[in-house]
Amino acid sequence: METAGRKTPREPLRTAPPMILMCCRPNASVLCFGVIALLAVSALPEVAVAAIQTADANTGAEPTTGPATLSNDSGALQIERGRVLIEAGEPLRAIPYLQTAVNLDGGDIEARRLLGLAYFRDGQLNQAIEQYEVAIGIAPTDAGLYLALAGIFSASGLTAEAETTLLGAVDAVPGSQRVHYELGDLYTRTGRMAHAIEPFRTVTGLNGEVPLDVVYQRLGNIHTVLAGFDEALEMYRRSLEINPDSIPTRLGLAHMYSRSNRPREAMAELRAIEQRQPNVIAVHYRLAELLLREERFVDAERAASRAVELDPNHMQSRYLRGMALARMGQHDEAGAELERYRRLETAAQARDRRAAEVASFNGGAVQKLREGRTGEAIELLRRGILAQPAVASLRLSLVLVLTQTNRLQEAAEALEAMIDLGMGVPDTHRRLALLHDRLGNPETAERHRQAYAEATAVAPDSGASVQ
Amino acid sequence: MRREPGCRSLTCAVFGFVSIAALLVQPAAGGQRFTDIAESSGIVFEHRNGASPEKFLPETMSAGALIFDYDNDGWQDVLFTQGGSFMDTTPAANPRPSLYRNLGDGSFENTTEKSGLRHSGYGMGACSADVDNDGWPDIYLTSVGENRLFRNSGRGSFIDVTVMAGAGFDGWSASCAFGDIDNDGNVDLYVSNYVDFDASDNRFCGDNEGVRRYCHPNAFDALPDILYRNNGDGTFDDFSRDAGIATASAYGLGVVFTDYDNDGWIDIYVANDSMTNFLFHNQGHGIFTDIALLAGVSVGGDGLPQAGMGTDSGDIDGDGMPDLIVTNLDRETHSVYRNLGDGLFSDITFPSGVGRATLPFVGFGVSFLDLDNDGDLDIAIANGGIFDNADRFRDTTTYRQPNLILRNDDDGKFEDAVEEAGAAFDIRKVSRGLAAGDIDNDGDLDLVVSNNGERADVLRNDRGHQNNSLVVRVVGTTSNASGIGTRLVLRVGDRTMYREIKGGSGYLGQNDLRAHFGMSAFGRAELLEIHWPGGTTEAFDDLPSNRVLTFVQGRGMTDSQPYASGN
Repeated sequence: METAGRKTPREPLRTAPPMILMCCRPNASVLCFGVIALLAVSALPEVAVAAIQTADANTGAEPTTGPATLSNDSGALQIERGRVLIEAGEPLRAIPYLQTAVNLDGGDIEARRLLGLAYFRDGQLNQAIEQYEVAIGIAPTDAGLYLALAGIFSASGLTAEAETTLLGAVDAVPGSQRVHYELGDLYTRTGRMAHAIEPFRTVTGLNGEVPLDVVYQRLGNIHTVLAGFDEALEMYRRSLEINPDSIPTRLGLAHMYSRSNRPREAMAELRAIEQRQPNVIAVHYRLAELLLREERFVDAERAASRAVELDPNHMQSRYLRGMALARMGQHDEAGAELERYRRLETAAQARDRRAAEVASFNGGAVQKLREGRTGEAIELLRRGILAQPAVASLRLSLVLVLTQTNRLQEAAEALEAMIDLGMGVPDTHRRLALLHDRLGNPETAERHRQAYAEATAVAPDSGASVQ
Repeated sequence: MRREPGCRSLTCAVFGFVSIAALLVQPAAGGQRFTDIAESSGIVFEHRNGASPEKFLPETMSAGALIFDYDNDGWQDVLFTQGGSFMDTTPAANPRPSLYRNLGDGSFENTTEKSGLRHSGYGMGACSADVDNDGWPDIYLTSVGENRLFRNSGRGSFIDVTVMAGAGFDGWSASCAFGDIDNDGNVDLYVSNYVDFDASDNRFCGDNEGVRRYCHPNAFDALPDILYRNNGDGTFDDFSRDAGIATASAYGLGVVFTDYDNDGWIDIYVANDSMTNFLFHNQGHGIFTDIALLAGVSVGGDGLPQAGMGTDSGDIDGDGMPDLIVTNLDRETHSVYRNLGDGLFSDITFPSGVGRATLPFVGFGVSFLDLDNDGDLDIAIANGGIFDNADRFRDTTTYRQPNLILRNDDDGKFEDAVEEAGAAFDIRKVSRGLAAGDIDNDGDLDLVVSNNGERADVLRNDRGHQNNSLVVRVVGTTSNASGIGTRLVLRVGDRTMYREIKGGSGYLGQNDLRAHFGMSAFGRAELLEIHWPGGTTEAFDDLPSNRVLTFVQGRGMTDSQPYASGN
């Protein structure tokens, strides 16, 4: 429970972020309802923020035609205020300052970049995208802007938009290692590993700060998946030439040897890592797998036990330990260990099942909205909530669709239900305040505004708090 | 590794000359050459998957094939299951499996119309056995909809007896298989069920641009499988709960009955998609316990569940214990489990060479079978992707894929033999079911492949018969008439071969019920043991090669036909 008056950081949603964000891009070819971003897992916003931060950090390293100059003292002050508020976790309060800076100088890249970031962190996706797109128009060879925009699209589940943005970046800034790398990364994350080979290979021919051992390692992983073991071996070797201590590379190499039926070489790589880093779970797990295959059951059991010791929830290691014990004739102990495996595996299945169902409800709603079947989308989300009542993202999706279709009272009721369930507090109060303003319920709006303020322990600031 | 069978001194003395002779006569040179004779033989079957923008999951899962002799003329006939459509009312209203009668002259007659066979829903799989022991093989058809049991009238047609039999599960069933779980002389029926699917409430799976793909099964609830007990009076009981197989729901696809521990009670192995596989150990009288996890056949060698599609059992190392294979998704490899004989299996996927060979492929139909008649079991696999838009979602694989033949090198390893297989294996299709049988009665095993949304292939084996072989048909009298579950042991030279009669295996289909033994250059088999379900054993010695032999339980060999000439 939040305690009034105690300063607590804004709490991220435990279950998942808003799953449907209305993305009414002014220059988009689709209708307002047509483009909806899905944030499929709760980790994604952090990924997006990290991507933007990375892009921000890279700005200085990338060529820029429109350097981030401050237009005047007043604008610089606004920008600085905005930056501080963003860093303090108050993006909503940062927006007016940054908007003022943009109004003072529409060509100020830094102001637009920060304004886009503030909008994004506040969940105002469309406005964020707009700021980055305008900034790119001003500074078309600023790789960092493309990367930030692609990060937003990617984090919002709009992978095709992210891909288009990055391909645009490849054309506009072909010498940027980072854009090629991010394009390859996007392909791998979306199941298109074969597509990723070319951009990753391009990275290796360019100068920049992307660590090439990582790129070669990733190329090795891709070729392993494609069963191109000779190519994989070559890539891993190059990676190790750059960084002989790379654990991921040696793990990848060991896995490749294992898949190409070369257990001794695989074992040698794993042992090499073990000597350097004795506490890498994956090493002990893979060792157990290989040793079991080699019918060295005592050693396999020992390796699996070590992995389990490091992570008691490491499901696969528990299985391998159970198998080793069974082959050693210790059936009771094997049975007990396999039962523990079964419980972990069942829980993992349930998690996957739940995530798939939520994604399906959200995806289905998006599809229906695209087809203009708003009522069916709402109905589908309501069914999703019935099926998965503890998933906040479905409820927020419903709220957003109801709000966009002007069914404000229903949206408010959906948010009230979230408050009752303790979901998304305090942000749900903020959303309720906004909704009740529109519904003409100033007292209720104020009550939620106060609740939000108390929960965040930040005094409302005129013009920059809940509006 | 192959374990040499024990050599009794008398047997060795009497038949030792055969082994010496074998050393002097080299097996036929060259590998397999398969010829697709589908069109020339009159089998022009095109599977309709009803592929739609809605991406109904059954659209990418269907296409089964069955080889059986429905008219008892000694020539194996072929049945293909048909899909249908969830969008187009015309195919949806009339999905019929296609039945082709083997005329024995290299051609087939389409007898679908007079067969009376019909799916009730979107067609999936088929299996066949003589469920009423009247001498005529009956058919069970699985569907997304209601499954159907058809009794063979003996006059070229089938009668829908589903309602009377009480075996018409309504849902999404995949494979089926017959086996006598309680050794009462009546074949029982196992039906694997996949997901709780409702076309009117289809799930969306895809990206946020609105591009759909076929869903992972975990977008749906799993269904428990069903075990029907044959009461012997034309009716079946749902015995799942009492039998102990209803304890868990899973995404069931492939199923095979096999007596993995040779205790005389037939067991059941089920390939589950993305969930742990089942090995139901028959404790006696049809009461089962799932021991897959402890036995080591539940998941992949890395401890992760795999996308089990098809499965088969067979003794690949000649130790008398049935081993197992499961086809899985690309990147996972298909899995091979060697039976150690003590209730445990060893995952030999990579040491056997199967792992590397199958890594890029999505496998469905699979069969352990001796394609070159050298006496050991090779592997045939039907591959095909799941996504018809794989380039967008999973570009490390393709929708159309080549099928595989892996040749057993008799030393625990399997080698990719596709290059020797000929042009018929160069093609890439979305293969699903694979049924093996000697359709031209020339002593080698041919393949029938059902392809999703495409023409079926009938691949005639043109070289296997260059080695000798025996084809054995068994007919039960006190045991079930189809002889399903019968274990046959053939001794040829220094090799002992073990075969089980299986009423359903692979994916959505079933092989020729006759047992096939490759004999390499050996002209005679020293001994054939027939271990009937229920415990009786009969033995026959000094059998000639290159014949189709029929043994009736308690009456001995009742027929011996030379192979047909030809390919």
